[in-house]
Amino acid sequence: MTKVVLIDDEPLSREIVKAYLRAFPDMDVVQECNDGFEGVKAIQQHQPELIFLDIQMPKINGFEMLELIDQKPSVIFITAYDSYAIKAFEANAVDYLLKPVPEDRFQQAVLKWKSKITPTAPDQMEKVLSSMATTAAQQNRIVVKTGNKVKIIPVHEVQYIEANDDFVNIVTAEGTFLKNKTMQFYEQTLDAQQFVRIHRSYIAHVGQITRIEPYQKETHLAILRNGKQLPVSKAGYVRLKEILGI
Amino acid sequence: MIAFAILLPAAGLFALLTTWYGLEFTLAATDTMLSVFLLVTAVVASRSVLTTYFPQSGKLAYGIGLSMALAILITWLFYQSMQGLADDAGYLSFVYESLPVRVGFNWVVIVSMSAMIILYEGFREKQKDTQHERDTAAMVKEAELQKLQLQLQPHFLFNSLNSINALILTQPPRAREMVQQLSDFLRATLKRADEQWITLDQELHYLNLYLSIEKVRFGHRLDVQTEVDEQIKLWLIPPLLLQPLVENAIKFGLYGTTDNVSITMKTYRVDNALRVTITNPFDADMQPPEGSGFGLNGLRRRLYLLYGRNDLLATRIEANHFTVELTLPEKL
Repeated sequence: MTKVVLIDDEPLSREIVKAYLRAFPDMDVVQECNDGFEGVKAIQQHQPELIFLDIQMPKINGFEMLELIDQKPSVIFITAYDSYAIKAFEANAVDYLLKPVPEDRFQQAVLKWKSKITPTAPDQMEKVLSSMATTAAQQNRIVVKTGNKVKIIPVHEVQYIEANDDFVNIVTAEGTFLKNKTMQFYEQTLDAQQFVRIHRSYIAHVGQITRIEPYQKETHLAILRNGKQLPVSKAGYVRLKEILGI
Repeated sequence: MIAFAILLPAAGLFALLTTWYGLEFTLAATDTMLSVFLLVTAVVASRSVLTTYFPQSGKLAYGIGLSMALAILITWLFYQSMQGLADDAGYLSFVYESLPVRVGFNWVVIVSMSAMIILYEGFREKQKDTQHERDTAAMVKEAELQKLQLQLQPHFLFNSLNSINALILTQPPRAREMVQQLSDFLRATLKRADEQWITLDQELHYLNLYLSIEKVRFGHRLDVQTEVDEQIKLWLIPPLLLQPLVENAIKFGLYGTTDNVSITMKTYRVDNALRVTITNPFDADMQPPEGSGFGLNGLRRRLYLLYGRNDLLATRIEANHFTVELTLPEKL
């Protein structure tokens, strides 16, 4: 049996997927979820092979939910209408269904997934997620997971972002949160007027910097409101000066 | 106006000729008519020459030269014509004596009249431009209002169709019901787009059509309470103002939480205005996703275009509730 999880906030929308899935007796819907929070829990608990995921949902959207999952299952997106999203899917060959979902198209998507069996290549999914973040305006919040809890951080609360091997640490007044994204990703998607790559390993929130002091040869130190000192490289200092207009 | 501008100098000239110079009636009349006729011709000519060709440099010299040439020309024509028309030697010598004065007089009249005509025409032209600008601005405003009014959320439409699709499989009678509701709603939307003002009652009816569809989509989770002051049901308001507000409240409420969402809407009278408040539950920890503020921005713009005011829409957050307060001045 193939384990399947449905994540959509409209009961009728899940209803139709379940009805279509009756044509595939080997597919077992192990759980239905109303929102991304439930979705994260269900995926951790059941480790499904395939999920049907709506994009516009309560609390966190479908893309934000996927960001929180390390071992991503195969995904078939179901969306009402979003030209950006469709572009991202087509470019990366991730399957998607448009509402209202026609049955033949649904079967086609499931058969296509079955014939490949291998889940959607993770790097393709990464590409979809980052192109969503860059096309859908600037992001104004970051969704992180702490233990089993999901936390939403408004970007204005972020003090700085620090490289941590392949991941990054998002630092706020409340603490440090690990996120499986790259420095480059945040450098590109956060508002460039507010977040500056001051160093290979640091992106600082400009509003948090109280002063900048010279340090060793050609490098500086940025001192944040809470007293934290961050190194500023030569190139970072140039970028910082440009934003601050000095 | 033009007749007056011709008659006044004509009468003046005639009076001058009869009383001061003591000319007899017919001679004075002929003299006056011919002089005035030539002057009018000269002014018309100078105006058309000046408007067709006006040099960038040496304007003054050109203007003076042209008017002077015209003044000399008509005076000469006048003298030639008079020699044929009148055989009174005394009068003819008077005409000859007065030639320099006549040239001067003609010149002054040509210059002042042409200047007045050109200034007046410029003024008219400007007025026309301003009128045109005003018309264009009104058209742009109209178009923008129409666009804002018709901003139907495509998500809403496609999601509703998807719900219908599901109901066809599971509960066909309810699917038919929803097709009917959606059609009524769409028909009303199209109709409203052409209307400038509708009664509060009509708008509430439209709102109920919308809510009946949203209730099918979200089922038991959605609960909307409305309180309406019966006395103001027939007040006129712009169409499609309340529906986007309620849509926004639903989106905020539903997408911010998975619990039941209860939305309260109250309409009542405040002095000479109609007030609508819409309250939805709000989770302060949730940062609303990007783009969800559209409803309110579009609405603010519409209110500004309709009433020329920016203070008609207010929002506030109290504890776990988000409230939108809309004030619509009475339509007189």
